[in-house]
Amino acid sequence: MLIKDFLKKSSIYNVLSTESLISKEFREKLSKLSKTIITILLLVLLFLYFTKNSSKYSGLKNFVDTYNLLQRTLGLILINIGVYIYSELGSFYLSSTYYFEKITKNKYNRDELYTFSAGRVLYTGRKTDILHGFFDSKIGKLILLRLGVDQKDSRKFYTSQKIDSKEDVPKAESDILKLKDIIKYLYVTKPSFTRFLNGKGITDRELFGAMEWVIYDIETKEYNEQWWRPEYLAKTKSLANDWSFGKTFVLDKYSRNLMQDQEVGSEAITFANRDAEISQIENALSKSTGANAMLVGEQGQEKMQVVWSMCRNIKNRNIAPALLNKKPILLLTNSLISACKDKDNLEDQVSKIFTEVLKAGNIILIIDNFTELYKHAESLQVDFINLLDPFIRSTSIQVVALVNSYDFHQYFENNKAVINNFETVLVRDLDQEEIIKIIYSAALKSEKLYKIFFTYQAIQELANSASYYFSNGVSSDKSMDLLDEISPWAKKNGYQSVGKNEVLEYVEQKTNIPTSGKVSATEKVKLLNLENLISKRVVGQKDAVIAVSNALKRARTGVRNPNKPIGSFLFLGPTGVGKTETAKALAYVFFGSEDNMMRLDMSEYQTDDAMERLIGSFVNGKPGVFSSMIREKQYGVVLLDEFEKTSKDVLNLFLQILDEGFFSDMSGQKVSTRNIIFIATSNAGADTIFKMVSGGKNPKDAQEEIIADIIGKGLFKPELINRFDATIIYRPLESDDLKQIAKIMLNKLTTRMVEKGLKVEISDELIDYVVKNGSNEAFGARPMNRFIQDSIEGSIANLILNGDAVPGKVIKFIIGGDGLSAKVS
Amino acid sequence: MKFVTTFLGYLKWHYGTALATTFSFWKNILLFLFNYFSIKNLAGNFFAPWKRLADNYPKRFNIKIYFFTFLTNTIMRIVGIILRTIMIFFGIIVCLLYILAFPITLVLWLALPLVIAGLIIFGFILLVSSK
Repeated sequence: MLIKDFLKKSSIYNVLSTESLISKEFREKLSKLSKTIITILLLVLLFLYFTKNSSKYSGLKNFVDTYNLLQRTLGLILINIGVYIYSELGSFYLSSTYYFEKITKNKYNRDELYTFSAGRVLYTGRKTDILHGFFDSKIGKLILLRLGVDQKDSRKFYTSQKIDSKEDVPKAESDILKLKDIIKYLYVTKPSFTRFLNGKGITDRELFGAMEWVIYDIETKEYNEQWWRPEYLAKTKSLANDWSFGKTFVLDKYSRNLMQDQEVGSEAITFANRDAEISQIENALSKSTGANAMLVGEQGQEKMQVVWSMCRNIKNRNIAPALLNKKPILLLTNSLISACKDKDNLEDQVSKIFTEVLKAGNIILIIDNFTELYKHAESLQVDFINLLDPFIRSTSIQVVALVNSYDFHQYFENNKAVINNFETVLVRDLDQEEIIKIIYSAALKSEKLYKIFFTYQAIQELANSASYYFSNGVSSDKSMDLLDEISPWAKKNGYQSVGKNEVLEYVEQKTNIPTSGKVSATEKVKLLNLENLISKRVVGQKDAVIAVSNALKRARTGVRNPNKPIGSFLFLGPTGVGKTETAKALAYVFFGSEDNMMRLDMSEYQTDDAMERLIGSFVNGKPGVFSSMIREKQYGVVLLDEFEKTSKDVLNLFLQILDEGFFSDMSGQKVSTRNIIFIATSNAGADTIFKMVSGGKNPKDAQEEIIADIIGKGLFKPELINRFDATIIYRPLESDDLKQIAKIMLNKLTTRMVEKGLKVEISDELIDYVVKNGSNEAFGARPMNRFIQDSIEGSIANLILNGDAVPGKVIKFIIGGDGLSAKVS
Repeated sequence: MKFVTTFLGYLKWHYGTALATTFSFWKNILLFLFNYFSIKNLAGNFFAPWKRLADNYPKRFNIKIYFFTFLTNTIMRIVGIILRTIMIFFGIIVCLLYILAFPITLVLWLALPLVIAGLIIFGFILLVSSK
């Protein structure tokens, strides 16, 4: 069916047609203008009327009479009243016919063929085609703007497209054609449209997301204008509902009426759909006895958001009868705690509060931080649950306690009195899509406040970054915090439009973690040459260097799995072959300094208290070495030296860390390790490697055999080895490798001496001598540094002290029968 | 032509859909007024003490305390009854006025397009006529 014929089949057609003649914005302006003119003219009319009847201003009176001003002003007023009524009636016409596809349950009639948003695109394209209709319609332009598409670009694109005037209407997925169907149709059937968007880096997911946001914005505004809806009218507080309920004098000192919170009153603040949790609370609070609920969720505002959503339902009278006309009162736990410092006082105040709640008869008592109150009471030797028992068992009291998941497991899960009288309601974690929806309204508010513009990609990145770069707390809270911080930052830095890159730039500034948003030119060069740069320091271990370099490249280009550490490697091999040096080189080359390598000697964590020392102790509240280390530096290399020597519990902890990229410390707080490279080193299997090398085998080819040997010895579980991104076998160093290492070390010394004005000559004999005396089979190149320090550096020090080595001199080393001697020339 | 069809479409809504939904619209407002004055709630708790300000009777019988408690509670009930009666009375009056105003609103709604036209035309006449 052709677009025009299809459009005319619905009653909305007339509304769309009216809208095309006089737009909503124009009508609103007309209404405001006529209202102002009426007010001014009324004042003029009054003035003229009194002038006419006063004998004082005879000149003015004549002027008014001559030009018939009184009558003419009245005429103007009547015209403006007519215009005002017309514009208001027009708004009423549009609003009352508007139905919603996003923000409320579908209100459309069965005979409607398309939604308003779809109709607006089709109406614009009725003389051209759907593609032109989309680009030319106001809603289409808004969607493209939210996607960060330049208007000139989109104009250039769609004007170059051929018009298909005989285009059929796309098929609807449900019984009514929605904008989503139209966009899907364009995306699937118009390759040029898809190419245009993809060329700008826009995915289909972003396209639909932006569409949803635009529709949401339009519908929220429209919904708030429909004051005659029963749910809107129900929001007005009754005059005398409180008269039948009791007063709460003591409770008032420590509480707040949640109905007066902005989060309850303003529809512009959106929450995720919490119907499931609210329904569980309704069931719990509707019970005849023990009508209480314990809301259990992660630390943060999500539990309160469930409560606010419930309060909104009470306000809109869309709630179970047991909660209708009830007043949700939030007990301010902290003020109660600070006011009651001794046992008797606390018992007295708590009893009074609960007695008042019981007597009042219309209160739902919400206790935030229930655990804090519980812990405070316990510290004063008050049996808190026993104190509450008669009240919470009562038939006429409703309590909702808010508890963090960790505290719930710690204190209440096994407490029979709590479990019997409180129905546990778990607050589910929100997924990414839901978090984005929560940010919609907050971002619109920020836009107004700071006069900036957010693209949809920015909103998406806010949700992503919050969970990716900030480990503590609930994702939705973190996203909102990030939004609150980024708006003033963007304003200050002169960004009028905030896109994905601006969000990443802010995150990078805040966390010092390079985000994959921008890879700078110098960084690009560094990444491409990473292998060479590391190889300058790590000799003879090509496989290890390649594996580590690839992990970094994956991380910085955003290819890696974001829910795991950047990379995790198990380096196996004998001592002194470059395992630790690789970690150091990586920290230096990529993270800028060797200081960015955090080292844990795992042989120190073999005892039963190893876990406590690493992640902190719940009993004494002492923070752990590992958790503190990661919190301080979220981005860098962690070297786990002698990994096989640590306790089984610690190895199990790393099973989770390597798999999920986080762990929980002693207080249940999440610590993210998603921006860390873990390098675990171990000498395990060194014997086997030596044997293979002496048998002429390349250890790399026998990797499986070596790993099987390690597992067989019970040093590591196979599942732990599998969690590492790669297990790399370090082969014993050959004499050429050792020579190169000696050269590198001696060159370092030479550089240091140049700074003192001395030149040290490095001969091949000296290198051979260092290799011969500074390395052995068991320790590889490890003794080399010590040897250079003792013999070479020691000799130079003596020469400096003797006064022989002064700036400008050259130091030579001669190898004779009695060893090494230094000469100055 | 477009203007005429659009205008006719509007009239169809004004005298069709909108008129048909007028009653439910009117009902919404009436229910709102009824709730706003808490008429049902007040009637249901008509004899309850004012804001539940009532004392408990002593557990051990003491004629003096018993008498004073009875007196206080009775006064609170009487205060409650008086205030509720006033509120219910006002509420019912407002609701009745609203019900009575319905036919007038209906007539006004029917005449509204003509009223707009009338206001503008009459306004112009006043504006341009010399006397």
